Amino acid sequence: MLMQLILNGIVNGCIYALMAAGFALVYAVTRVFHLAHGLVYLAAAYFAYYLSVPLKVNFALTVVLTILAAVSLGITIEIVIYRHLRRRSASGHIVMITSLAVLILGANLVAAFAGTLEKRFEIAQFQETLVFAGLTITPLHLFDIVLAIVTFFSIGIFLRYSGIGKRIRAVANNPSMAELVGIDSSKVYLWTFALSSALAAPAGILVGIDLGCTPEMGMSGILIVFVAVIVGGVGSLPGAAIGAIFIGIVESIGVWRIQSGWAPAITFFVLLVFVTFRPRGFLGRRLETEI
Amino acid sequence: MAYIAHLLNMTAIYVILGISLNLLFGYAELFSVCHAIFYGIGAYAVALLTVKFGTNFFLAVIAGVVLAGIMGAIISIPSIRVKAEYLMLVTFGFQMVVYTVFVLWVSLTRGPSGIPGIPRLSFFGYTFFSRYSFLPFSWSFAALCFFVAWRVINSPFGRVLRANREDELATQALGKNVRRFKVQVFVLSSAMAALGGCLLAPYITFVGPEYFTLHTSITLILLVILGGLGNLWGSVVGAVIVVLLPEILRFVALPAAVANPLRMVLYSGLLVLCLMFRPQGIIPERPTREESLESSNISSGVRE
Repeated sequence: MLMQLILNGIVNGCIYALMAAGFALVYAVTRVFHLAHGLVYLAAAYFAYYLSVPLKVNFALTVVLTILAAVSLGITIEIVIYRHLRRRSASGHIVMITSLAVLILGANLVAAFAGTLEKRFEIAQFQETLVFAGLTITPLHLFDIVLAIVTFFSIGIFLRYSGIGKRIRAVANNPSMAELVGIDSSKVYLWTFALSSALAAPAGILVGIDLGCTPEMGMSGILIVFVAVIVGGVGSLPGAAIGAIFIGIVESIGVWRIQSGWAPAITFFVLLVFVTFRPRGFLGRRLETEI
Repeated sequence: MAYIAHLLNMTAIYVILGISLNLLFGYAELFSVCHAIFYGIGAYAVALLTVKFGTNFFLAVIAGVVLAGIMGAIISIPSIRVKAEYLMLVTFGFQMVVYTVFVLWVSLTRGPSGIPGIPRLSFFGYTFFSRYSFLPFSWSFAALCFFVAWRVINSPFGRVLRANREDELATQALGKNVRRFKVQVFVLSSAMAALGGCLLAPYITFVGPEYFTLHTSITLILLVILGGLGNLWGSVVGAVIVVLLPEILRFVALPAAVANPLRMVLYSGLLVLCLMFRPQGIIPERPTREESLESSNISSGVRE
């Protein structure tokens, strides 16, 4: 039983990890908690739904188009909102509240036009369950895990060896030095948001298939994601993944005994414990503590 | 006409909420997204105590305010110790979670059905039955909160907060335990917000989770930012705007399922615009005496 719960937790954690990686990447580069990331995730889920169900677009094409849509949305938010706030030297809090307001705005727009009922879309081949080693898993969940592993591996290689990856890491490491050596940070920011949104899209699609799309998923999703990032260590991508899987497992074990509606309470409790006792998370560097 | 009285009563409550949040946002630079929860704690405390136990209203108010203060301390103490952005994240989590508690802990709060039948206010044998008679009551509390906030801001405590806002390191260097001040403000703010909730309960005679959502917190943030941070009159203006806006929207006949989200689209859109283009709000903070002397010296051409 426990192993099954842990497995379920890992599956959920993998989806959270995809979203958390994007969030952590944006934070690492821009030092901003991109709460509007939840909107990109939400929009991707609904976009994929509308392509698959009313428009009956082929699944592979849906995925590609959704990723493109998510990337456009993410880049638009950077250009319209964050860039403007950066020019005005807005403080971190103001940017965060603006980001949250953008998330709320988008989620309510979706609610106004698409309604609050859950919209689920199903892909036939993902339905039957498989059993091995006494544990049950669906092909969809297996796909989640594989996708997460492949994605993280690819991001790791991309960030380490590609030109733009190195520039992203440079800006994340030391923005002023990066500017000094001639790296165009606004381009790097665009790439960062593009990559981050491209990661949110599959997460949204997978959740849309598995659990359905609701307007609240933006808010609840981002809550889990930033707790995962804090737990794993802000500014660390592997940390985000570890944090996400940790939360997935803790949630899964936690809701075994209590109603599943209480899952956010468990997540919040984890957050409070970490903020109180280990604010840097598992893999983060020691934070400059505020006074 | 009774409807206008209702709007005025709600404005009074929102003035209280706005002033309490302004203390946090405008003076202490503490950004909290869970203000609706403290509002809710006050309302639920009064509702539960007066309905289930027949407690006297004023005792219930004290219970609600104290409980909110304690919750405020529990939330703020760990978060303020760390980066300031963490407070916002922790309060965001708190908002989502306690809302879930309001909805799911049915044995305590009756969940989404809410708690009806809250006794109307009565003292000295007089029951505040109508909207009109509640007006002096709600506005006296609003004025009281305004006065308390004004005294706090202009006290040495308030000066430390403003000093901290300008230069945290310098304030610390002067030996002020800034963290303790921040927690104290947070507790005061939560307690005052709960007071607003305590007024809501006997006024509407019904309390339900739908009044205390994340959207409510965002609306309150819009209130203080649009009205003007660091200026108490700004919060009054903000309260008036936030109460009147939905009334203007009533002229557009839309089904509730579309109108409610669109109202939040309008509020969050206004908030984004305000933060991007006029973060100081409608009534900006007045400069201190020193600052205005400084600028008048400069303008009269005094050379340094």
